[in-house]
Amino acid sequence: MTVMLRKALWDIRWTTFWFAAGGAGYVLLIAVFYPTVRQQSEQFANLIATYPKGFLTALGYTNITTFSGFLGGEALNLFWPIIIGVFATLGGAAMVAREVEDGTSEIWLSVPATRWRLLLGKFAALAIGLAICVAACVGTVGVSAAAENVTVSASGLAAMSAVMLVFLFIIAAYSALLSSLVSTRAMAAGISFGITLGFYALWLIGGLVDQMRQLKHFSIFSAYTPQKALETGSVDVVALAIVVGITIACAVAALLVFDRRDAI
Amino acid sequence: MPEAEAIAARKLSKVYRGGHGAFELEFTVHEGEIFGFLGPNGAGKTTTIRTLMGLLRPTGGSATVFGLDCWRESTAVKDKVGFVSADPRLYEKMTGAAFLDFMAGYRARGTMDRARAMAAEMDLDLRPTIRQLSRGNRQKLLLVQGFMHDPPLLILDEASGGLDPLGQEMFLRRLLGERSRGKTVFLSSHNLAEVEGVADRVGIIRDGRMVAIEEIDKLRSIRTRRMDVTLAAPVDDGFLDRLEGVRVVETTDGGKQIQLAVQGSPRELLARLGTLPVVDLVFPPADLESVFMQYYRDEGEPRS
Repeated sequence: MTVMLRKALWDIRWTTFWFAAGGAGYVLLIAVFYPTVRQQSEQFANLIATYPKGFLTALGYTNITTFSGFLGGEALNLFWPIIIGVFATLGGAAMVAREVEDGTSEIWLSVPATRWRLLLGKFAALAIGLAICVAACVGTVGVSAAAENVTVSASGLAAMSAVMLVFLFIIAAYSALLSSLVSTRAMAAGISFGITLGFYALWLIGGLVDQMRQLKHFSIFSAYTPQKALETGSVDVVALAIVVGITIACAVAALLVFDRRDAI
Repeated sequence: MPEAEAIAARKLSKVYRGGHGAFELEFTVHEGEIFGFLGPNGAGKTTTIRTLMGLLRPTGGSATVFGLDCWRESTAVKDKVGFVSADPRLYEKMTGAAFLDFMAGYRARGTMDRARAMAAEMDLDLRPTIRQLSRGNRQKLLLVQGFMHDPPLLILDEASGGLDPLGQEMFLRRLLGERSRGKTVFLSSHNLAEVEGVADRVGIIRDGRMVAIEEIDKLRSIRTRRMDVTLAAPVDDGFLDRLEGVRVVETTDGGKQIQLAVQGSPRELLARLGTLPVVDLVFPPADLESVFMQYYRDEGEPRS
């Protein structure tokens, strides 16, 4: 597996770098504005209070006057996961489909290694790439907080890392499953984006319509609570465990499908 | 004592949704022989090879390599096989050296040293990225990765495609060298002359079905070659037609241009032509179609 892991890491090195830098850069850009927001917190709070509930829910705004609330609403709750979610989707969708599309699957699968080992090597590389993106983001949050004299706990940063990783891993896992199934990157990525959008819609509708609040529980966004994790240092263990379970199921299904299908 | 089988296909089928593919193939390749696998483009050669390599799942029958099932035990099979694909598409951004290093990572220690030596022998520069390599050099790179781990069985799919004549000659010499070291070679090609030059036996596939499996000498004796003779003055057709294995196909230009179909040795024909006022003579290598035509005649009518 290490041979495949090394190659897969090499393949995604620049993608990882740009997504990690882009995501962290965006978080830094937002964090730089926080001192201004803090100075005029009352005016901002009043302004936010005039926004429609749907708008605030959609963007994940709660309390904009705190460091975690401001970063959460402006970056961590929606925009950062969209940016890095694209990486997870494209990385997962490329796992098998890219080899088939590029015509390299024949040479790839001619090596004496089981298919599941080869795919697991790619999974591991993408997981490392996503972890680097998360580390860059969390590091930026920690450094920004220190620079702006805001206290964030290590447990908060760790809990935030956990929810971010789990969220990205499940996207990568169902994208990889689709990649094993359909053989074209565009189709796998397209369906995967559709599924993620569907999850977001469930989470949004569940948050806006009281009678439909149960819908939130069917969305992976329910387990994605980076702001809360940063503030409290804790995670919703049950929600995370369910997402981890689905991630593992998707990954195993991807391996099984890939193991049984024609390679070309 | 029966010869050991390197490859055995038992009613091996791989049928695609469109109905094409390979159908109920039955053949064995003995250890230590070069087995030519002949067929025109689209005949099912690559499908068969991909099934042997465990890249495609058979829809019927089975195939084994050294007794290992090609689908269920494909990892063990690949361990014993050097594979050269007909598809020259590789990892474009890798250098030749990085590509070989990646492939050698799955093989025994020392494989990369052997690969470097082979590349030097083939005058292949491993520093440029694969994207920068010519078709011929890509093929050389594929050959190096196929041979570098010194496997007991080589499965080669149109492996000389893209090589220049010198490279092709070197390739065929290498195959003979491998055979002399006891290695088995499964050589797929649509080039009859190439296979004739090295193979011990030949399997002929057409429309996904094995038409025949023959010793190479038998193949040489049955295949028909065309000869175009230009004469200074017309002669009687029958003068040539009466020779065994010679048939006049067409006479034009008032009998000065004669097209012949020649089967077997041309020695008697050449002797007879020596007595005629021959101005020009063209005798190209036999093509695959002429071999197929022979089998069609044997069967009464062509397969659909």
